[in-house]
Amino acid sequence: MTKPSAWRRVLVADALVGYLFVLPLIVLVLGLVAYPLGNAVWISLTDKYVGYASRFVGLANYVTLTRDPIFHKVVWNSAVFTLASVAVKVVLGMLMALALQRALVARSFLRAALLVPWVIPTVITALTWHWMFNALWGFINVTLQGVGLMREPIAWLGQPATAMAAVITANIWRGFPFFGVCLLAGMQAIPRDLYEAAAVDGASPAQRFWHITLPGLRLVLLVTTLISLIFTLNDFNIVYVLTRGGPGTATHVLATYTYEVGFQALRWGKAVAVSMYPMPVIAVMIVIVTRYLTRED
Amino acid sequence: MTLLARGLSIVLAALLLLTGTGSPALAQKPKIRVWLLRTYVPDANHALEDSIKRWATSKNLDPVIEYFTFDDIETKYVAAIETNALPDVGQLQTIGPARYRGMGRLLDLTDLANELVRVNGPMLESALPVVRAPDGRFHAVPFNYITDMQFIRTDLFRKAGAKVPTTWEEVREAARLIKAKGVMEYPLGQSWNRSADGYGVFQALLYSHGGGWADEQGNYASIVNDTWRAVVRWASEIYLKDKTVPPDAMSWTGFGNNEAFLTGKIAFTFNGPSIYYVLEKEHRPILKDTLMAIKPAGPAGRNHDVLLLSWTVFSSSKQVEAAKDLIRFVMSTDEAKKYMQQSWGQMVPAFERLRQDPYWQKNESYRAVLEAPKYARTPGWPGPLTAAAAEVVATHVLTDLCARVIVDGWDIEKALGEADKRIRDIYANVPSR
Amino acid sequence: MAGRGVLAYGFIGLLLLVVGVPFYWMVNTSLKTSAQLQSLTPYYYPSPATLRNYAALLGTTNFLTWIKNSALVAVGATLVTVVVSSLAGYSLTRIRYPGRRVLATTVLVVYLVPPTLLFIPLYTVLKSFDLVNSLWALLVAYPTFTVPFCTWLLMGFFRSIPRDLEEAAMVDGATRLGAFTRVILPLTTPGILAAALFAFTLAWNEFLYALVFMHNTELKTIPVGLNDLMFGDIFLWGQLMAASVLTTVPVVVLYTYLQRYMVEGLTAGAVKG
Repeated sequence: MTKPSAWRRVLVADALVGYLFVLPLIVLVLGLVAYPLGNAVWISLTDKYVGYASRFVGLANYVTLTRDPIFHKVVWNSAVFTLASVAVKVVLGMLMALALQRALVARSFLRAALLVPWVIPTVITALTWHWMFNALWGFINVTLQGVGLMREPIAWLGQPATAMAAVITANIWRGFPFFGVCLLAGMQAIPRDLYEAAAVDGASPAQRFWHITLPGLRLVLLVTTLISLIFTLNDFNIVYVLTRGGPGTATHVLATYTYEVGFQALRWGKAVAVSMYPMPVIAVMIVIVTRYLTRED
Repeated sequence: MTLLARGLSIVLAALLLLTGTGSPALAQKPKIRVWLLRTYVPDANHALEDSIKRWATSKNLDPVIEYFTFDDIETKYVAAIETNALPDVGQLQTIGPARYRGMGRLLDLTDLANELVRVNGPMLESALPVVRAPDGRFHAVPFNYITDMQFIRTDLFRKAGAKVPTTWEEVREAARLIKAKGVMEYPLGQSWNRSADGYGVFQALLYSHGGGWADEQGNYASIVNDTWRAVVRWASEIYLKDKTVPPDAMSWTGFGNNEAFLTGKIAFTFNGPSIYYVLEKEHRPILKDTLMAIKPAGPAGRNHDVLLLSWTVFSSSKQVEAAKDLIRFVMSTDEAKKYMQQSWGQMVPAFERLRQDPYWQKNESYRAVLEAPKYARTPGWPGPLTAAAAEVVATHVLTDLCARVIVDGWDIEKALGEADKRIRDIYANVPSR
Repeated sequence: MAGRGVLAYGFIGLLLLVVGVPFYWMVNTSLKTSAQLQSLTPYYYPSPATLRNYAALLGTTNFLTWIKNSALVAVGATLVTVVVSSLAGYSLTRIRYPGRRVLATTVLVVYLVPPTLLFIPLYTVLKSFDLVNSLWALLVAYPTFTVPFCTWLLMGFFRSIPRDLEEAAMVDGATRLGAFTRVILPLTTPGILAAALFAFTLAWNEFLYALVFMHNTELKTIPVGLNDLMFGDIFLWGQLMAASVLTTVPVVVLYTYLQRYMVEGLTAGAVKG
C-alpha cells in the first residue's frame, strides 16, 4: 500500500511515459501529413486544374458529383467490390488461420507458401488474372473447355456481372493471406489453458471456436477487417490492370475514377473530392472501433 | 531482447550508410535534363541516346537522360508541372503540346520549326494541328508518328475469298464472310476500350463518316444526329448482330488485340505497327501472311486518328539555347536517318526528306505505314485540338458510349444523349487561357 | 481427433491449389519464350523450358538495382514503422492518460485520403528538406501511411493481452519500458511480425511516390522498374513473370526464417501457438 501522493506521482510519471511513447507518431502525423491533408481538403474546394491557378468554389465539386450518374455507379461498384471482397477474405483468412493452427507437419513451409499471393507485386498478380480470365486463350476457359465442362467460351471480363466477380476474385486471392497471418497471430495469443479446460468440460470444436477463439480474436478481427475495408476501397492496381474500370463502367471504382479525373482529365479539385466522399462513413467506423480499442476494462 | 535491439540497430546503421553512398560524384560540366519515351524498340532508344550523348560531348555538357514509358511519362509531367520540376527537353505525346502550351509551360519554337523545315523539307499537313497553335506559333516540333494500321492475315482472307477492306462497310463484310465460311469464329479483333486502341479506331470510324463533336472553330456541336447514329450502329452491330468479334473483346486493354493476332485467334485488327515489329524481330511464321494496310475510308473519305510524338523545350529551362540545339542536332537529316534505320519501321517521320528515304520502300506493308499518317486527324476535328477536345478523349466519353450500347444494352438514342451531355459539360467547364 | 486433422489438411490443400495455380502460370510463363507463349501449345508447360527471360532480366535491365532500392526502402520503412507503431500502439491501449482516445481516433482519420492525392504537397515538404531524388524521400514518405495502420493493427494485438501481466511486473519494480520490452513484446511477437509484414509489403508494392519523387534511373524501385517492361501494347511477359518469381521467393524465404526465429524462438515457454 502506497501513500496517495506517491500513487499520484507514479500515475503522472506513467502518463508522461505514455505521451513519450506516442510522441514519434504525433511528430510523423503533424510533420508530414497534416499539411498535405489540409492542402488536399483545400484543393477539393477549388476548381484546380493541373497547370493552372485554382479558384475557390466551395462545395461545387461535391455537388456536381452528387448529380453525376457515373459517380453514382462508381460508388455502387466500390461498395459491392469492397464488401464482397472483404467478407470472403475474412472467412477464408479465418479458415486458413484455424487450419494452420492445427497443422503441425511442415507448418513453416505451409505458412510461407500461403503467403505468396500477398507478396507478389500487385501489378503482376493483376496481369496474371487478366490472362486467366481471357475468353479465348485464358487458363480458366481453356481448361474448362479442355475437360469438356464448357462449350461456348464465357466472356468473363466482357460482361458487367462476371467482370465484377473477376476483380473481386483477384482481390480476394491477393488479400486473404493478410487475414490469415493476422488472425493466426491473434490466435497464438489466446492462452492454451482455456482450450484445455474446455476440452475437459467436453466442449465440441465448434463450441470452442465460438466461445473461446472468436471472443479472443474479436479485437484483432475488428481492426484487421477495418484496415482491409479501407485498403480495398482504395485499391487501384487490380481493377485498373484487369479491366480499367470496364467493360464500360461496370467495374469503375473510386480509385480508378480518381485516377481518370485527376491524371487523365487533369481536374485535380474534382479528383480529391471524389476520394473524400467516403470519408464520413469511414470516420464513423474508425470512431466506433477506437472506442473498443481504448476502452477501460 | 537486447541482442535483437543491437542487431536491429546494426542493420539500420548499415542501411543508412548504404543509402548515403548512393549519391553520385559531383559533375564538372553543366547538366541538361532530357526526358525520353522508352519505346518498345530498344535499338531505336539506343540510337537516340547515342545521338544525344555525342551532341553533349561536343558541347561539353552532361546529359541527364531519363526514360519513362508511355503511361508513366504523363504522370511524371503532371507531377513535374505542379512541383516545378520539369526537365529542359522532353518528348510529348499527341495532346501534349496543346495541353501544356495552354498552361504556358512550353517555349515558342517557331524558329526551330522553320529551321527544321529548311533542312528536312516540309512537314506533313497532318502534323501541323498537333504542334502548331491556332495563332500560328509552334510550341513543339514533330518527332515521329506511330501509325495505326489494319493488320490482315492474308492467308485467312484468301481462304475465305475476302478482299482487303478499303471502306468500313467492307470491314464488316470481310468479317462476316470469314466467319460464314467457317475460317475463323471471331475474325475481327476490335475493342472499344479505354485505351488508345479503342479510342483511335473509333475516331477514325467517326471522322471517316464526317462525324465530330466540335465545329471548325472548336466549339461544342451536338452529337445527336444521323451520322453518329450510323457510326454507333457500326460499332455495336459487329458485336451484337454480326458477332464477328471475340466475346470479351470489350475488356481488352492495350495488348489484348496484339495477343489475339499473335496467337492466331483473329484474322484482322487495327493496331500500331508494334505487331509487325514482333513478327519481324522474332521471325514468326505468320510474318509472310501478315499485311499492314491503311485504314479504311468512309463516306467522308479517309479521316483517321493520330499518334504523333514531338519534341519540346520547357519554358522553365535555364539552358534554352542548348536545349534547342539538342533538338536541332538529333532532328538533323543525318542523325534522324540513323534513328530511322534502327527503328524497325515502327516510327514514321513527319519531314519530307526523311520520308523519301528508300528505307520505307522495303515492302507493301512499310509503304502503307509511310503513307498512313497523311490521313491523321487530331481530336476535335474539324476544329483545332483544344484542351476540351483532349478531355473528351481522356475521359473515354466515346468508348463509354459504345460500351453503353454493347455491354449495358442501352439503345443508341439514350447512349448518345448521355455522351452528348458529358461533352457539353466538358466544353462548358474547361479553364480559359 | 484425426478426423479434424484431415479436414484441416484438406482445406490447406485446397488453398494451396488456389494459390498454386496462378503462381504456376507465372513460373510457366517465365520459362517460355514469347513465341512459345503465343503459340498456345503446349499450354500447361514450357517445351523447351528456357532461362532466357531470367538472363535478359538480370542482364539487360536494372533489375538488381530495383531490388536493392526496394529492399533498402522497404526494410528501412518497416523498421521505423515497427518501432513507432509498437510504442504508440502500446501507449494508446495500455497506459492511461488524458486525450488518448482523441489521439487514437485522429491518427487514423487523417489517413482517409489515399496517398495518391497527397503526393504534390508531400513533394513540396520533401523538397524543402532537400530529400527529393534520393531514397530518403521514400524512407520518410512511406511511414506516413504504414505507421498509422500498423499502430492500429498492433492496438488490436496489445489490447488482447490481459491487463494484469505488466502490472505484476511493475509492482515487482520494473519500469514501464521494461515491462513493455520484457513482458508484452515477447507475447505479441506474432502480431508484430504480422504488422512488419504488412508494412513491408506496402512499401514493396508502392508505385506512385517511387515514380514521382525520384528522377534518376538508378533510383527506380521494383514497381517502377516493372513498368519498364510494359510498353503500351508490348509486354515482355517472360521477363515480367521472371521478375515476379525472383521477387517473391526471397521475401517468402525471409519471412519463414523470421517466423521461426522470432516467434517460435522467443515465445517458447510462454503462450503456445
